[in-house]
Amino acid sequence: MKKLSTRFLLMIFCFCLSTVYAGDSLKGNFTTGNPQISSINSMAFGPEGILFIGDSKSAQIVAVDLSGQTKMDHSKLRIDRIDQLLADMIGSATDELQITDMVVDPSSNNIYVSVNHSSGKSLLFKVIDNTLKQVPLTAVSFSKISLDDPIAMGAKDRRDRDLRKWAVADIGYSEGKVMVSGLSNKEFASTFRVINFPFENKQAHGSLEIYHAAHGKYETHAPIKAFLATNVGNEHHLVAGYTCTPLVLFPMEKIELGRHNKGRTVAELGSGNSPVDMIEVGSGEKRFLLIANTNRPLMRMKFADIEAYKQSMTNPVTIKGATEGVAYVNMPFVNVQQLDNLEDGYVMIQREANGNLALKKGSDWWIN
Amino acid sequence: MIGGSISFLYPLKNYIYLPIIVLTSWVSFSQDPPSFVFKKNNIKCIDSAFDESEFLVFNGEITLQEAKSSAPIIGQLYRDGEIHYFEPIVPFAYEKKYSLAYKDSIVYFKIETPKDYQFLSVNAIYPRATELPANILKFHVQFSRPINLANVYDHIYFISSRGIIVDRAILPLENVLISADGTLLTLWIEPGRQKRGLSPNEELGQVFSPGESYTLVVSNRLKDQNGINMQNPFSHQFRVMKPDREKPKIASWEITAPLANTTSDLVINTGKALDFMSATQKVTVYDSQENLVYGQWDLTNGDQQLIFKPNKKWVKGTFSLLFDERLDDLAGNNLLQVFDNEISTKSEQANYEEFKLSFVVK
Repeated sequence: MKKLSTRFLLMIFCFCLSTVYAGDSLKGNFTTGNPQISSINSMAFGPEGILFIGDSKSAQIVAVDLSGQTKMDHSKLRIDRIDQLLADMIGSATDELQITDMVVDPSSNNIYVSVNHSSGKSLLFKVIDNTLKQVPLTAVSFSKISLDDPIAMGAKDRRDRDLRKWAVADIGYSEGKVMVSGLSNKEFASTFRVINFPFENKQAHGSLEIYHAAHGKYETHAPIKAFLATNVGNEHHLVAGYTCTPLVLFPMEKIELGRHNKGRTVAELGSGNSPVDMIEVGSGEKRFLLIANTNRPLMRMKFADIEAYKQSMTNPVTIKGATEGVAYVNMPFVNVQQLDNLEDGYVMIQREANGNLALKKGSDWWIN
Repeated sequence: MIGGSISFLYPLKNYIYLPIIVLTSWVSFSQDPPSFVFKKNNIKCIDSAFDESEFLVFNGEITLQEAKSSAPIIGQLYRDGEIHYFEPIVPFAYEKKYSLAYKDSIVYFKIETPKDYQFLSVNAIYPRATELPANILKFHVQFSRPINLANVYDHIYFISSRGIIVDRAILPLENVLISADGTLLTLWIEPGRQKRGLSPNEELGQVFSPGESYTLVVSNRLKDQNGINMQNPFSHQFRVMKPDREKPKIASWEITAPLANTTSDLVINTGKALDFMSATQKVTVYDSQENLVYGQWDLTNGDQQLIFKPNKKWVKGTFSLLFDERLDDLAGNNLLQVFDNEISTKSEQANYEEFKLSFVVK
């Protein structure tokens, strides 16, 4: 019976993963109006200029159509003191605002920056001619889905839920699925949600409880801090960076809803460090995984090396500050706070050595 | 006449009078001078020759020359009859200086903090117990009003009895765990260090040492949602005991049933300290017909006593208490497994089990 139910769950998930949306458009069920976004915690672009916004405060994912935005030229991209510029535009102090994410629309190469202000207001800005312009989100074409746990909404759990909080850590889109990682204030658990897109009235999302099987005999429920869905060895994988820094691979087709899914740890990125953003650049032998970190420089890892690393790390690193597993190169960019693809290269927000917080392109030299 | 309810003019330095005099005299021969009222949420402007293309508000005190190359504050201009309003994208902060550039003049203003302003303070720390296991996983800080979440971890830290700040004690999250009303902050004590066998634990050891005393400090640099600092720092001392690697066992919990026709507390003595967030949200009471009984939960007596106060009077009968399997104690041990669960042990594969107790109201 157990095997049967496992197989059934697997079938459902595989079906979900392989389903190609047959509608006329991804925006078929979009409506125009105010999506009531309370906070912008994480963002990701899907196809057709659709921006996915993870809104922790309202526990929702909002898909906003930004395809109508004018395409900008970023050949001379650079904004210095972007935190001060934002503070000036908001009428605030730099320590009262937080840049929560920066994303690039791959269909237009437009760059967007999200900011949460201490007043509780969240704002979206677009980079235009090396300055910023606010993109109002009160009258847009959108669709959205609640992140409330469907189980918790049942009769068994009709308690006062005001204190519950589920904070979005990262969001991504791949092959008709919106993926969301996060952490709650209830328990330390690595809940990872997979949601069909276009969003459906009948919610087809499920939670995956993921842990990596490294670290000797103790399991880890650490939340996924940043992730990337991509091909590794011709197989679709979730490349997950955890808060206590293992880099873990999960073959997508083996992930099962409602189960503990064990991944294969391929690298340790250094304790006291946490991944911030992960992107994929280049192709062939020069296809790289770039990882921005809280306490390490921007890392460059060859996908060829990840594919060649067949084992799984099972022993903790005991030498202070040491790293293990797939080799990587530290790029000369420290304190990279945001990172995304831009055309064939990459764009970042970096706190430079002189204190300047700059939005700028990364040098192509490092990835060619 | 400039201003109204806001005393932007008088407390400022003398030099600001000059542009205001210029502004008022410039229009005096032809029409009434423009007047402004500065409030937290808007600027009110009365000017019969209002020109919105010349109305720009700036962060800080800047000159007209600087205004030409500065980014103005985003906001909305609208009119109500003859009165024009500027509403900034976020309300003006108290005690912060701003500049209004209008028709080749500049006016400086600030909004004063109301005299009856309720300053930010810490109302409670959870756990409230002063003796805590070395592998404690969470603290919750209850503030009196919503806090500024930017850089929040810079303002909260632990100090050892030797006065040294404990390094890497709190897990810094980009998206801070704060309740919907912005007042209850959850702090995860670096789980990678608290859990045995992980690299941070192997390299740096556990965050807290048994036998030591520590102080949780909330610095007065922490601001509230309005950008106003706490008036005084807050500190909370606790002593660290040996690590706790035991699951809470509900079978040993003692229930004191309330009396019928009263709204007396239902009291559950758990024998071990529980996590406040978990304990007050993961237990439900059902009557004999399996209807949910509504009420308020609290955790008292060294976080070892669960209290339930019903919204309505108790009636005679048998009631059941349903405990969520993830109800956890201070060290993250839940009803199913300990936080340091060994991956090969049976509990990792535990099937669903109903955690239930009952009591009789007479």
